[in-house]
Amino acid sequence: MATEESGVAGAEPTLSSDSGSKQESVKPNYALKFTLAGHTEAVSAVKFSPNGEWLASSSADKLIIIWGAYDGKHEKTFYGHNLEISDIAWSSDSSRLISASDDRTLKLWDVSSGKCLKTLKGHNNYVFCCNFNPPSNLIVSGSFDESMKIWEVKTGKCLKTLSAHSDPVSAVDFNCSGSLIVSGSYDGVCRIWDAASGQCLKALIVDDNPPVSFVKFSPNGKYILTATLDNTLKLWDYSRNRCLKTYTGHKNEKYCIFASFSVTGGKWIVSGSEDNLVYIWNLQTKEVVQKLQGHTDTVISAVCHPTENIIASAALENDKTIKLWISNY
Amino acid sequence: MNLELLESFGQNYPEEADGTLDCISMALTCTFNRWGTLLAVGCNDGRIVIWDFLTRGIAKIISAHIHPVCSLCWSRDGHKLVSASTDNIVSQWDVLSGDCDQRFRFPSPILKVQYHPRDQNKVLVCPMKSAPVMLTLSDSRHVVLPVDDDSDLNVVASFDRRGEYIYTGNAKGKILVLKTDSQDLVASFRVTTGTSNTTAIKSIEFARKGSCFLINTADRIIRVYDGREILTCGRDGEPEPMQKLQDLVNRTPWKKCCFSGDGEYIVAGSARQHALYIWEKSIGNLVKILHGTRGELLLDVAWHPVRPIIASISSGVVSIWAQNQVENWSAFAPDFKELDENVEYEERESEFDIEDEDKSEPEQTGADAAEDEEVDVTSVDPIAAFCSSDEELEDSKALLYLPIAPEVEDPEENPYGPPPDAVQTSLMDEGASSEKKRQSSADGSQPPKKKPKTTNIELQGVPNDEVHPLLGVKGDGKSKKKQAGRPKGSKAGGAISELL
Repeated sequence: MATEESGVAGAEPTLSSDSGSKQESVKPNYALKFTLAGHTEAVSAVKFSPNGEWLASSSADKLIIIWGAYDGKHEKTFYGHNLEISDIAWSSDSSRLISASDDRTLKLWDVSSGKCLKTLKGHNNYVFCCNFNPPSNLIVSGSFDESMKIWEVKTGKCLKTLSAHSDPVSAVDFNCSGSLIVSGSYDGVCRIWDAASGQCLKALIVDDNPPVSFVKFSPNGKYILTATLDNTLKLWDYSRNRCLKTYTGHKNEKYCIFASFSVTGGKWIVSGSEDNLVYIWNLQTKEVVQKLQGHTDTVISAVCHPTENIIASAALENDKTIKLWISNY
Repeated sequence: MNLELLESFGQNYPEEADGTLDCISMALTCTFNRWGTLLAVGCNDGRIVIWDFLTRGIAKIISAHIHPVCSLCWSRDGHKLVSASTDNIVSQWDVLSGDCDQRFRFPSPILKVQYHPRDQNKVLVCPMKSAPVMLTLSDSRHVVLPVDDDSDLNVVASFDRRGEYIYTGNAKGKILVLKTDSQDLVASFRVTTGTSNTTAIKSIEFARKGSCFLINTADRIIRVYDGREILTCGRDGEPEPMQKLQDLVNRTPWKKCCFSGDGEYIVAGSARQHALYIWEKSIGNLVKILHGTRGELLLDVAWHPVRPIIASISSGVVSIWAQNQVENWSAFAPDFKELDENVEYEERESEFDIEDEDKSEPEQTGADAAEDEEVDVTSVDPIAAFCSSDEELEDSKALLYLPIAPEVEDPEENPYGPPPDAVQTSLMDEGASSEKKRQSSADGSQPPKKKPKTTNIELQGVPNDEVHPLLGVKGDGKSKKKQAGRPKGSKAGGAISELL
């Protein structure tokens, strides 16, 4: 069920000039377009499909719901998990979904039929994060049992187990060519792995080891965005082990909040926050350019549409809704 | 593929066995695609099995021929495969759909097919007892390449790395270099052994990088040349090989040789036993011998284009050779260092202090300055290992991976969901249809498609009762690629099981 808003929520007026990305005075003007209600418990993750048509959301109510990305219409519901779901990911052709759940399994879904194609068993504790590789023949998953597993999509078998962290693995991601995996964990270390052999290639540690709550490769695979539970987001050049940018101003001390690169219009970093707002930073200047107001609980996830200037944000149990925001930049 | 991060700096060579790729069909020949992501294996039941090398699983099976597949080649963009079978047919396949695009029937068995490295409209075919033929796929025409000596038609040929020239070699050791477009002779030389005796050319292989190539001859010596030197020597030149590689101890004849992806190493498979010899090209020293199961015979060897991995075929099974996976412990944390021997640790005075008085102030280096740099998160750099020196961009339409359909055994019970549909995976289709005997011209099991065009190639003076070496000779380890005299015309098709 989607309700449409027409007002502008907390956006700053922007200068309009059709110029290149170097204009630092251009700010986005994201405004709330739709509110999607349907989950009965806290929403844990939202992801746009790579073809831009759909938005998938997972929730503590054990369901996955597929919404239309442009109109917010409730399309499908997937049933099957026994416990709360923490993460979902789309395959590159937008035809399959993988979901990670507290029932220690991952489930591979066929989107068009809504059926669960495979259940991947092997983890010993809650499965917290999951992702496909770009060719979508492998799945990587991270779990509270401190390990990561690489699964083959075709047979559902676990090909490799990477056990190097000493605390729950909070996020895993492939780079754009599928050759590297980055993993972040509560032990404060981000590790980079070779996807084909499972070898650990590098480790990034922030001073003072704050728990890493989220990691993601940049769209070109050269940089890594990490979120840590000390209210900070950092952009790293992992080949030279240097932190290039630091983004602060939001609140993140408790939950693993998803952040995102927005590259469809201006170059922004988008993240949820525990003060119920969605924060948008200018990627180069690191200043907060917009704060989106509207949720009534921690915004656990903020993701960007692959081709349009649309942000989807989801919040926890006081709110239970997903909001779609649209901007001109 | 961020090769800079990998610990194995540059390529090196495989050192040990790393599993096998096994399927129902018995493998005869294999070839990697340009990026090493897919391995196409031709089998003796006429099937082409395409393996996904990342997961070591089967990505696709094409029921290509009725007779054994004896030669395969990938097109440059990875979308097409050209295959030859022992019943003298050359076909082009579309990899994604598994359909046959075109078919050519030759009068004699085919020893080798090869796409032009830059123009996938042209295919070089080496039939037995015939001059090599270059096919143009778009108009189904063919050109017979000139040979040196019309009485000797045991000729092998290969495109050079860029497809500018075609190198041919005959049973008398004469190498001709022809320009691809015009078939003009630009250079030639004769390979002599010892006291100026001639030796038959068994194969010519080019490296994927650089201008070197090797010639495998019947005198059991592998000669490595630089292509540029051959061109400068011109016609009837006398170029010197850069290296002459051989096994002096056992006088091993070589079944198949090839270069590593970067051209720095050469692997040669023995024709007598299941052993692979690896030399370093620049120095010419033998660096490794990989031994397989005793008693097996090698049929084919292929080196991965990028990684230090070799695939070899023996007894119908593809064996993979790779490097030892040594865990790089110092990568697990920035302050981990691997020690060669025990080191006594000296405790600092302030080791257990809550407030470390001895620690120096962390420097505020130019960290702020670094944070003002522009960061580009969207532009993708092409991967150097895959780019050729004469092309800037990677082919964005190239086919690196095949879409994978998960195997569904029992769709799970779903009380609330929609009624189960029949989930047809592409693999299940192939598996079912390959059971039936397929006619060579019609795809009977699938919805009607247009019949692939079949062209009969007529070649002058080629005997049409030849049998492919893979079929005709009772296997005892003799190298079969080149035969100086006429083989016995036995049509025993069942002899292949003895061979394997």
